[in-house]
Amino acid sequence: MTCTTCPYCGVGCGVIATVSDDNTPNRVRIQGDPEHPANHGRLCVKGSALADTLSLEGRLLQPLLRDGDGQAQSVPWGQALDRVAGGLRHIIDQYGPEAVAFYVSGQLLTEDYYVVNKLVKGWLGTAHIDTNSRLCMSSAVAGHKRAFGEDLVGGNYKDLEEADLVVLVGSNTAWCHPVVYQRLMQSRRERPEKRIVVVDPRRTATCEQADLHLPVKAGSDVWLFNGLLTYLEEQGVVDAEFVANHTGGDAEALAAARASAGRLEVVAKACGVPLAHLQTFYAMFARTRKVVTVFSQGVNQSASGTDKVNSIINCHLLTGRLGEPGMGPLSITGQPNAMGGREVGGLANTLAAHLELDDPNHRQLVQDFWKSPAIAVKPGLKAVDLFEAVHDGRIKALWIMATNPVVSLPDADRVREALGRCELLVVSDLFTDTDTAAAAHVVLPALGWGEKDGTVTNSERCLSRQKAFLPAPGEAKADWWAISEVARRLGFEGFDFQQPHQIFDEHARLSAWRNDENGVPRAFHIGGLAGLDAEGYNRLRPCQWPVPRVGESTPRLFKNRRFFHADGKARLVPTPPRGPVNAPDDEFPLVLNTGRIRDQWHTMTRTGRAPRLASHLPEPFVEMHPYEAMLCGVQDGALVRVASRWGAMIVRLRCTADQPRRTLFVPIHWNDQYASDARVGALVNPVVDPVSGEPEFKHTPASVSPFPVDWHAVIYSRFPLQLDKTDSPAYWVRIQGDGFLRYELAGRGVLADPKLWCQSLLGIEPPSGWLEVTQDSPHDYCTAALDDDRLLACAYLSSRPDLPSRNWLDRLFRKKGVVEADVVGLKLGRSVDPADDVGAMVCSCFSVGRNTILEAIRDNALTSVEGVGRCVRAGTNCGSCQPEIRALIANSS
Amino acid sequence: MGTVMKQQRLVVIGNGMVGQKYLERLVADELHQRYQVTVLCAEARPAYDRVHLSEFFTGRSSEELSLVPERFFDRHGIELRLNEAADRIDLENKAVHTGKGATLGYDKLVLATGSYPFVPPVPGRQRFGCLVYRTIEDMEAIMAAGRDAEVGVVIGGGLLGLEAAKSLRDIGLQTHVVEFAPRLMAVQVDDGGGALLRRKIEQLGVFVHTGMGVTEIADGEFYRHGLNFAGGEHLEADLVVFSAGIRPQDALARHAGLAVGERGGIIIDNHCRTSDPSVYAIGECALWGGRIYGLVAPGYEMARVAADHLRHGSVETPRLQFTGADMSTKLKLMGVDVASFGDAHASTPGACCYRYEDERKQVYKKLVVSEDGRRLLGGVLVGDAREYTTLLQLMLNDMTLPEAPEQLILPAARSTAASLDVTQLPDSAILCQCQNVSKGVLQQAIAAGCCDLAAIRHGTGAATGCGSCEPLLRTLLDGSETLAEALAEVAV
Repeated sequence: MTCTTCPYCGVGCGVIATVSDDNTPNRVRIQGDPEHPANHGRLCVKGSALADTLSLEGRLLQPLLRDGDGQAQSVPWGQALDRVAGGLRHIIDQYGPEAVAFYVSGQLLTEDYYVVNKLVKGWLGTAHIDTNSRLCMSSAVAGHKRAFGEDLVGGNYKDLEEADLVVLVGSNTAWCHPVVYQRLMQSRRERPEKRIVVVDPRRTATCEQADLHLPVKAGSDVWLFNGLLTYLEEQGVVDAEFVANHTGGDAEALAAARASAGRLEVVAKACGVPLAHLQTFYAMFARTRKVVTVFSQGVNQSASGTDKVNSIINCHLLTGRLGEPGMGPLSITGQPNAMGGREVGGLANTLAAHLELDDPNHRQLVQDFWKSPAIAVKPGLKAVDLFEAVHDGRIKALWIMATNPVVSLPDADRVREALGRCELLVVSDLFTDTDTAAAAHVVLPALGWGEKDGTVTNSERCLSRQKAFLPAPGEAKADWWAISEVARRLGFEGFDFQQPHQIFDEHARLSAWRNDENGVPRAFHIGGLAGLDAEGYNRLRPCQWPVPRVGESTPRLFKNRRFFHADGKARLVPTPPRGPVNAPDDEFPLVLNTGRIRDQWHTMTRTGRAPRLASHLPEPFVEMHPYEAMLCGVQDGALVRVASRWGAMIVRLRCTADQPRRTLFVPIHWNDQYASDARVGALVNPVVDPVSGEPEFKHTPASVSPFPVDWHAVIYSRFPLQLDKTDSPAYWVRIQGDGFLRYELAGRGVLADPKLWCQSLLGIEPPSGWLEVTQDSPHDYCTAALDDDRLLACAYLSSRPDLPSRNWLDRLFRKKGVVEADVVGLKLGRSVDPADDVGAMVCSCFSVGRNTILEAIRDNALTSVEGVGRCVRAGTNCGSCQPEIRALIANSS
Repeated sequence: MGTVMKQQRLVVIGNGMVGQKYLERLVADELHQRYQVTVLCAEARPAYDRVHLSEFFTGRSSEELSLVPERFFDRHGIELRLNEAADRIDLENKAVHTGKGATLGYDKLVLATGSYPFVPPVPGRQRFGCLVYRTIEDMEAIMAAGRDAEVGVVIGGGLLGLEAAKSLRDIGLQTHVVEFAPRLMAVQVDDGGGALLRRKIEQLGVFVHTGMGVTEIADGEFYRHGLNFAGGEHLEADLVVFSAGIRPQDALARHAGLAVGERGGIIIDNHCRTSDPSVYAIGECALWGGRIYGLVAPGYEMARVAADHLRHGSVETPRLQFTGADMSTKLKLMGVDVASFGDAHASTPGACCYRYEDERKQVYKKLVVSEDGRRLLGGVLVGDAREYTTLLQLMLNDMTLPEAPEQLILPAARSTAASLDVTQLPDSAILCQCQNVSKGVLQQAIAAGCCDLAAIRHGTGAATGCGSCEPLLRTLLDGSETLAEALAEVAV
């Protein structure tokens, strides 16, 4: 039994993994850790399915070298490390250290992060290291620094429970941080008088239970909070003593707020929300002292993200609502170790241990501690600029760890192009089949969750252990080890780490180093954790920093009203609002928004392998308002082309009035491994916040047009199909099933020989031949292959999108032995038993479909989510499908 | 072709829902064989379903809204002249002059010109983006204006106004409804029902303002229009839809010298004849007993009566007469059930009321009964109108109420209430008000083999209008099934 931490979102839930001795495929059991302060035993659907992602299928088990023709070859570590070190040395000698860059990830453990940052900033002497946290958290970091003098999240999840009003801004908490959402909902059940307001352009699952939803226009948040600031002042809701003694900048901030949002009508117009709702929200905020404002990517991923953050914090500072239970701004991060990365200085504009690059005292402090030969003197390139520098040749060597920028960065086609120009591209990853690893010269096999060992810090400053409970597969190694090995080969000292606890100890000591009134006082202090030996490190229980002395933990900052600007005060920051950089025009009249869906994570390299996570939303899609779809001449459920000035994609259209007019929503997850053309990053404008450098993922002008096809097909196979780039159909999606793969396909033109096409695509010789049905239309074709009573494959082709029920076929492929009735069904293209179709997946944890739930509601006259749970179990594990169940109940009454 | 009978000429002005119903009756009675029929239609397309016009915004096309079966006019030899309005009627010479310069002589003339939306005479009412809600063209104009709009206002909180509000909400606008009266649907519901309706509609995201009269529409500061109200209120919007009632389209008749009412409407008798015996008027342009009937069911009834008179009037006493109509309505407004029937406001002398309200489930029900409590006079249902059909039958058939009439609207009594209906009704009871189908006719159809709703629809036309009679038809079907089963058992 191992206590570890979930590797997905920034909630950072405690997980207990139990490995059984037998070597069965399901030998790992996952449970929530009841002792962990983040989740108290709860887990979401992704966390619950962690065991499904641990298969070694597709794992990279040895280093790979790719020669000039793109041929990959497995090599021993020594050879790969020599190649990396030699390549770096060569490029540094020829072009200087500024030609070398690292792009790392919030998926790294703090220890990996620490070592790579140390190498880059202390030994290579450059700061060209940035992280994918740039894409999600850097605006929050910049906002925190401007307000508090340091990147500090003062509160914790418990504050959400204790608050009387929770404002969720730009956060689909129900889907993206399900456990935090569950805690919030639980506290509301206990105290029904608690109020919840959601600020989000989309009507998401999170809005379902909200008292008020403000569907603000993308990018208009600063008007909303400037308006609130003005309103609070006008209503006299000001903590004058706090403002006078513990803050600065209030006059300027208020002047800027008044100038831009002094009238409610102006705010209503700018935000596109009804005046009456605005008044309701402001009045609610004004009269509630215990208010927490949660913000996430909807705030951060904007060209004015940092100002948005400060406009929110301003309201809490003016009212003195922070530093006490149940109140304060609360940034919720997207990645498991976004905060850990920030602590070690993993961003191009920070140094280490919450110290700043541009302060000579800070640089001296770190260099003294490290005893390093160099220290970076100026900020490095931030993510978007960094890849631009790769593109134009200023950066020649790039090492990417645990992230997939060809999918996740804005203008992602240009990123792919940039990688093609790199003289040396090193990628550390678990898999070779990622869009990014495909371009690498050297691919290093990294350790995955359950294999690696270190620490992470979640959104509420809770530092907890991620532990290994599985052996390292093949030759896979920790990232810190690979970095240290390369550092040693470059002749650097200070990298002789043998165990992760040694790195953690150094990190902890640095945090305490000269961290006092005489040195450089800073909040980030984990000196109390220094000196842990391997066993102590292993036993480390979750704690919230600062941990200045052994055994301490700090659930809440700012209790003493002390902040970390030089004068010990916080700052209200003037935030004159700015709209998004690229405005829609006639050619691209719609606003493209991007985000996560409930059951997938990032670029699906892990979650895409879990069958039960694939069933909720199996295909990439774009959501738009039905009226907008009418205006664009596109049909619900049909394939459409979504385009921007930067790129285009082909996805399925989902019409929903939850999506506001003139906007689109596309999930960020799909990529070339799972779909023909569904990387939304290719469409996103490469526009960044001037302060934080965070890209504007939530606002790109785009258009939607029909993507006509002549035939539709679904193919089930036990093996991956060979869909090569040149000859593949116009549209395909690969969906992981339980022991099979499902492909959704569509194409143009007439398939001359559907039989030959299907059979050669499937590439098998079924022992008992092919089962075939051909109808009159040249496109209507069906075939299936059995091996005795086991289904090997099947394919249905039609000129209409009326293909058989996928849930039924899914079940046939999971079935132990198919019977005669199933074979008849296969020929008919539908189950002979009408009760067989459970409908689209709603509860992924227990595989409960829509029809099953509707039936239960009808037959038992159910009126509550709890009732449905008792009847069919749906919604009783992670609870993230509860909003959907609630909607089903509402619609069937 | 070529029969002597065909010499007679019949001109129908207007091809709306009622005009089309009239043509259907002609065809059913084979009158189109006796008359050479010409239809003038000012609109660009033949009759369509105005009742479900708001579905235009949820993707239903104008073709799908059409009420005209394919090739209807061709098949029956009826001449349809689209985009051609009547300009003038010459009663003396029995001729209609059209807007395209044609002159059509007639032996009989039917006016089915319908109504037009009333737009209060406020300054600024003709500004760009100030529209009405009546025709498909109006819908298209609203869609076009809605493309760039953010806020929409509907002037008028009646039935049609709320339909319009639903449409504006469907196209994603912030939507306001402004009503001059102190409550929504003032004609149909009382204060209690209106208050609940308002709450429900506000929960659906529509802002309701009652007791406000617009005085002026001018430039807005933030949106296209600024609306000023008598009480000093101000509201801004990009799109304004007027839905402040209808007025009969009687100008043609008025100019021709036909008798019209003081406040408009072509005066008709019980056979839908106007003051000129060769001219009929039906639907919303007609005034019967000093009243305009703004619902489709009375319009259909007039169409039947007028056709019947054309068939029989010259030789014998016509069978049918129009003697007023029940104005009961049941509808779903933005998902909210609302029903109103009979004397909803209890204005009958001595009338007494029963009220039931559940604020948590948001249901309001009111029964209006006679002084002695034995007769149902009317009622209002908001939030749950399942009892409507039963109650309506009780009222229309003048049945004796149970000892405790309140049981009819109390939740526990629902099943008892439902069981009251079909069996106790006389065969003459009209179960489908829209298509005027009686229980007797339905029973015959079922006996003749219509074994499901679809077959009944096809065979009798019942439940093809508003659909509110469906539950009754189901009980009728179920009843006959039980009967059939019983018979089968006996046979065994």
